[in-house]
Amino acid sequence: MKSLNELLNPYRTISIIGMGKNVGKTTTLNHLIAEFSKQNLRLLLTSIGRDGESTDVVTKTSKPQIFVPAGTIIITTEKLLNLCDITIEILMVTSITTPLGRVVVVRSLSDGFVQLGGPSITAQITNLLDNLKDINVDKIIVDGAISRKSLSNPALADCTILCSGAAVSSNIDEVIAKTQHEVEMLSLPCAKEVRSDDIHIQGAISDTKMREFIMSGENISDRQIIIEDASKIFITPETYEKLLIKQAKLFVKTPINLALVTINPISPKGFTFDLQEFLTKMQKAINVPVYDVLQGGKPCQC
Amino acid sequence: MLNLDSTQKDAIGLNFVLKNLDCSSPYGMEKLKELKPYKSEDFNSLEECFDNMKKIKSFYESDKSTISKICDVLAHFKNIRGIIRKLENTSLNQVELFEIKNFLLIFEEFLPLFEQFNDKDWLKNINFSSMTNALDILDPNKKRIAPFSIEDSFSEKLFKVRQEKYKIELLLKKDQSLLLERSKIVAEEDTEETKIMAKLSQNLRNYIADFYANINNLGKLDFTIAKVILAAKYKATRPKISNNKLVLKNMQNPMVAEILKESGKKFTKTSLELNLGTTIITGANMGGKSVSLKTTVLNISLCLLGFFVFADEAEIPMFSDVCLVFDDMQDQKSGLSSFGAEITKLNDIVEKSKNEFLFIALDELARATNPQEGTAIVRAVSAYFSSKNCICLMSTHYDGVVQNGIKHYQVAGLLNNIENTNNISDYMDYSLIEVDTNTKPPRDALRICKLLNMDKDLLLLVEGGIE
Repeated sequence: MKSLNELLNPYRTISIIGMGKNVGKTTTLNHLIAEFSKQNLRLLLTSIGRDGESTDVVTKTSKPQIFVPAGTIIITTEKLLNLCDITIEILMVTSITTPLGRVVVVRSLSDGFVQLGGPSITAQITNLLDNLKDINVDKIIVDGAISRKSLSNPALADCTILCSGAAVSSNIDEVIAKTQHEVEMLSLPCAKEVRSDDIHIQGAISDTKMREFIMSGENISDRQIIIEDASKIFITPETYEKLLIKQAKLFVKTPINLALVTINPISPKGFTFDLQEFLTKMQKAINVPVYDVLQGGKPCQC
Repeated sequence: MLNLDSTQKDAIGLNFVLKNLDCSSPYGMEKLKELKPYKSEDFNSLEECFDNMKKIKSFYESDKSTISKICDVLAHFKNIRGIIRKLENTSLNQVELFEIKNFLLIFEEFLPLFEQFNDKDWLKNINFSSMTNALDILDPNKKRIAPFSIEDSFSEKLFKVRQEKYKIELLLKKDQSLLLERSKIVAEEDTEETKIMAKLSQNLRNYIADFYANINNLGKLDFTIAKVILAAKYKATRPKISNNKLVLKNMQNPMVAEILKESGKKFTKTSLELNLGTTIITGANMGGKSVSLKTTVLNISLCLLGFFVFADEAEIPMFSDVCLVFDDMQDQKSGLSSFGAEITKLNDIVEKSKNEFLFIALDELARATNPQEGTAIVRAVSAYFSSKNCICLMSTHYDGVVQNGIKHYQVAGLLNNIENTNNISDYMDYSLIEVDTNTKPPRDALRICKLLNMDKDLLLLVEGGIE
């Protein structure tokens, strides 16, 4: 199995999304930063806007978690800038506003801790990154806030990393089942052919919307249901199962490139899964490489 | 802004014109938001404003590229007014200093461009003072690049602290226990940076008056250029400020012209010459009386707001205000009948006219009441304003309301020799012709009925009634 570096080598923009809180997203991010810095790659870091629940970190007492080397370009917001302890050079103040002030682009002139913030609309990040084309960077990492799947939007990132962990559930099999479903959704393929009876769905597909659709009695057996991309899917495994029973097939217009899954065996509630068991079970369940970032990003040895 | 409500500004096409004004900078936009009419005591500044526009317009007509270069630079300015206000009492943070620096960098780019453009000093009261000294405060090494940081060279102490920070970060890679030590240095750096930002702010504070003056002039210049580009687009001309005479030769209304253009039609320019007192426009239905009236109000309003007007030639007195009454259906929502609403508005105007020099436009006054009383009201109102210090323009389709001493215009009306048509407007001549007091309005209603193929039996009855 390839090392993490080898695996991510071809991709310039990498997005990180999580199955929930405390699944090791920041650990994964820090690990990538450290790995890329070892190769002297120039980095640009940003995140998609912070959810309301995260605003409690915006206090002087909370410690920023992300450590960057000098020379890193950071997209964050005015208020979060006060929580960064790097020496700052301001490159750009954008007109994008967030509850934490305007989005700003800075260069770190020293190593140090930073707080990432950013636009909460995917299109705004895409535009902003486009405006920053002239700034020379090798890798762009976009950190997704909790449940911001829109970050895996293929227009934004060349590849996506999914973080899962014991924080999802205390039952290891449930964590694996949920992750498996998420991976399946994120890996939906592009339809190979256009058929006259294709069903196109615009925008997000929720559980309710899909159930109504199944109950409507429309004949969906053997038909292709085509969605814009996997970031628009918000259906549960049960609903997906029902679709499969009806022999409908889900496709996306633009596939997402799910490069790998990272796992964190430690739950903030105090219990820990057996790492080897977790790795082995997870790798068996999904056909995307699984890495344990806590132990230094080793791939699954099974 | 003038005695016109928002519905009226929409109806006369003033909002259309203002929406078409394309300011490049936030400072030009500020001028648009603060827009208010020039009063008679502001005569000199209105003339100065027109002088500047005339000069920029003739420059623009021969050299569009210089103007567009200036607009490009203006478009880069962000609004730093809030930051300057803050600077009056408080120190600025790094983001704010970045924005000041960027304003000053753009200003450095702007100033030579402006000086080249204004080399003969021909613009009045639009001038700028150099801010290079202020820029040097934030960019002492004269690198003149956009990024901003509290540079090591700002203080010896900062230089030392940063050296220590660098050293400890090298060690940190091997020894994580130095984190606490590092956080002490980071705190020292923060304290020193705060001190420096306070010092920079204090030094910048000396230039606050220059900032405000330059921002104000940037707004003036941007707004004037926007007005000139608009004037060039619609071939607007500089109005002459007259004493008591209102002349609008071949005036037009860009909003109505645009609507007509969409259906492939052309706006007919009309001309009017009004003296103190009342003038009445009579004419057939569909004859464009209302449009002429509203176009007159639009052009007077624009002149008073410091714009060129949409006419080949214009003489406009400095009215203290512009009043318009037309049936906009708005007041019916508040429970008044359209007649009731008209009279309420008229009362206000009568009161206002006792102390102010007004332009009053009354469109089809009392149209909604019975012709007998309606005629009496129109006659009385026209007589009342004819002896007042105002210019009053009324339109009506009532007969025999024009009394001696009142100027009378008539819509040229329906052309002769028309075949059957469904499109009356193609055969309507909208021009205004000055006629005798006693000239009766053309009897076009019957012709229109015929042209629109009214049922023969019904038409017979109508004709019988008229005889």
